[in-house]
Amino acid sequence: MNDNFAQAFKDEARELLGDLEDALLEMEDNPQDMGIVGRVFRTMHTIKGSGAMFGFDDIASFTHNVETVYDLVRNGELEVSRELVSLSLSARDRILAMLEAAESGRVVDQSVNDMVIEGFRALVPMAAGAVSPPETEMPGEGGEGTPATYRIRFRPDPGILGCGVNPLSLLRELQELGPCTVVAHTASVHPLAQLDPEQCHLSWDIILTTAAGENAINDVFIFVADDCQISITVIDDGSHQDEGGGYKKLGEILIERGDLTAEQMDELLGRQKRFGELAVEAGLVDTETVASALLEQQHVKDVRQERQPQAAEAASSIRVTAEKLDVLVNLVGELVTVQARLSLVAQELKKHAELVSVAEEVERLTNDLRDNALDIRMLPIGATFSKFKRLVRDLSSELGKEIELTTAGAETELDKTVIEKLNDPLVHIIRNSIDHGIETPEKRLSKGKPKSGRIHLSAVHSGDSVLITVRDDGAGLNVEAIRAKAVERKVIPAHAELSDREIYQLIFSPGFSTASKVTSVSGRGVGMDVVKQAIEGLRGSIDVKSEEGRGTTITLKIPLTLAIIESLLVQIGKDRFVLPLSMVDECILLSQEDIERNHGRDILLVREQLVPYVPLRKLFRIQGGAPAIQQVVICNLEGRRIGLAVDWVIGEHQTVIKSLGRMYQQVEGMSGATILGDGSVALILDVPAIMQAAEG
Amino acid sequence: MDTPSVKISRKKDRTVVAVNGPMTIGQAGELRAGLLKAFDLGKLVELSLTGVTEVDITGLQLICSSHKTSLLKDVALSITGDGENLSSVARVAGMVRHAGCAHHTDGICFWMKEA
Repeated sequence: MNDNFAQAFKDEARELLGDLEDALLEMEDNPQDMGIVGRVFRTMHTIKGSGAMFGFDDIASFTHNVETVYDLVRNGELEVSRELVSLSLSARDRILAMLEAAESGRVVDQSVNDMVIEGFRALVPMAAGAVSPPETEMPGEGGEGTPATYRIRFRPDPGILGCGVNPLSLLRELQELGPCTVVAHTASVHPLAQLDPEQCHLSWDIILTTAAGENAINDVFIFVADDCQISITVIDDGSHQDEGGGYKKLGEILIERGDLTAEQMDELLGRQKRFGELAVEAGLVDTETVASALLEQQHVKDVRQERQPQAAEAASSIRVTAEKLDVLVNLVGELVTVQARLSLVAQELKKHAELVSVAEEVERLTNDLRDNALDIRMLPIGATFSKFKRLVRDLSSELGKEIELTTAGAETELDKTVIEKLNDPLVHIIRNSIDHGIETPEKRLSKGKPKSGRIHLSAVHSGDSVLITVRDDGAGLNVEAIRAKAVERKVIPAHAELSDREIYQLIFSPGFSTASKVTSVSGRGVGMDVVKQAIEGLRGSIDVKSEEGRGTTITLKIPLTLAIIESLLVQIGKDRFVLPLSMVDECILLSQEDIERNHGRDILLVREQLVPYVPLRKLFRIQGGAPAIQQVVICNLEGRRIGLAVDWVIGEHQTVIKSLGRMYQQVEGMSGATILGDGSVALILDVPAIMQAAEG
Repeated sequence: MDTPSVKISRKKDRTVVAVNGPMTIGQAGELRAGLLKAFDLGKLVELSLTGVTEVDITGLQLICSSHKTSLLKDVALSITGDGENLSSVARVAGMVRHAGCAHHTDGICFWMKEA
């Protein structure tokens, strides 16, 4: 088997399993919605079909069993229940496990699969036999496969009407199966004098496009098959998507139908006339036969034409491995660096006007390329949100709580890497909301709240960041409990004066948990500090708001991308540093007099407001003296303003972020590095960490 | 049934064959006979379908057969009063077409006007 196809199947199956999970959860909310049941069935059917096609027989066989159950649901023989949804979700997980096992070469635990199938069997005791190994299914047979186009030639016995058969009913049934072109042949209808009016003299050519399969067509003729001549031929199996909607020539159709021989066609083609006319003139076929063949031609052309936009749509997006995108972004990063160098050289050689002009052009193109490359990696956060629906469902039932998860802004796009790294912190936050936040139904009712709790997950763009908010309507944070715990754990001194906001931040301290008992969900004291670390690792920040008894809102502010940022380049001595421009409020001059006026305290008076600053030269122990006039870059972090004193502010800079490497990962105050135009390295300042160190 | 399902009226310039009620296998023999009689009179035959309530395959065949008879006997045929009922059955039966049948030499195929 071609590995590319197998990989394509795995990728597709993963997407389908994601859709399946969404559909199942939706189905639980709307058990009467047959549209969703159909969606579940179709997804199972597709997984089964492609699984079998690409040699994943275990997946095909397992999915067949589940699909069979959904066929019963679809036919109204089995109701949608919570149990069915739970089993289906487990089945979905098993399919994923089988898929992953196939990738890693592991063997799945068949007993778990059997347990799930047993569960389904128990659910449909009357139809237990229905959950059985899959039958070999030909493409286009049974179920809902790809629509195929059939040529049906129906020649009823003249006496058929006397048997009570109404050919019109048969034709109607066929037309219900899909787009249908029917041509009646009237050649055998004689003039009145020779006509037996009670016999059927008509015969039909029917061109039908349907996904119902050949068996469904045979079923239409099941009671008349003995009294008719019926031939069913597939003339388009639905796979022809590259022929621009075209179809066979008239002559080919007539030969295929047996209405004309190849020799006759060759002879006719020698003459310069329309083929149909020639064939009729030669007395080889009648006009009806030609018309019927032409209608077949038109029908298939129409069907293929209709399929074209879908095919074009499929071709308009391609699947690329994430690694390739990472390589692209890295290369673009290198290009940005080289472009900066080119601009620098062009600046130095100003007299070469041509060079300056080329450098400017390269800069413009590089910027466009950078934006486009980064844009390719942007993904909507919706897929991550969907995963949480399952999490909330499973955890809330485990804890005996009723929780509804609502989401907003699923279409908000974020860099793929950021989304991946956001998953775990969000899981922790939501777990905490479910476990500590939302109360049990009884408790909620006693407090006059709705029985069912609510967690709202939203994402919205805000400048070059995305704000992700997790809001619950639970008990809210208990300021006193947090404070007491913090004192007990010696995180804060007993008499520390802290605002509510500062106290809320304590929940992110290592090993901090106010939960009175440890549950499997949360309360182990690990989690929230990990959340903070992860978010800060993403150069993001966390804000907590809470109202006791009313609920808690946790807002994550995350940068859109981690690859390239707009930054401010500064210099201290010979060393250069960059800091994210999004954090910079303004730059202020700091003279020797200013320093003396403040008696050595690192404080600046900016428009009647005191702003503390950190002399970076001192912090980083950089040798040499500061210039007479330094510059202070005032940064703003969640409303708090703090200055960073540097020798010079060089200017704005496109920073391609490079990690510091394992050895320097723990260096405080630095979050990465970048390569400047001249090839030298500049460190990226970790402003929140510097601010924290200065405050602490 | 008080009123006959097929009524033939002789007009000055034509013979009108009017169908009332169903135009199905039950009336097919009677209608054929009426139409044959009308063609024998040699004047334009008007097949009036205003009163038709139901049509089946035999009805559609009789319309075709009448046209062929008209060509054979060189007696003009006009079909009037055909309603949605007939049109919809003709569509289902695949009678509606862009080109007439092999006998279509007069350029008037009843089904072509439906196309």
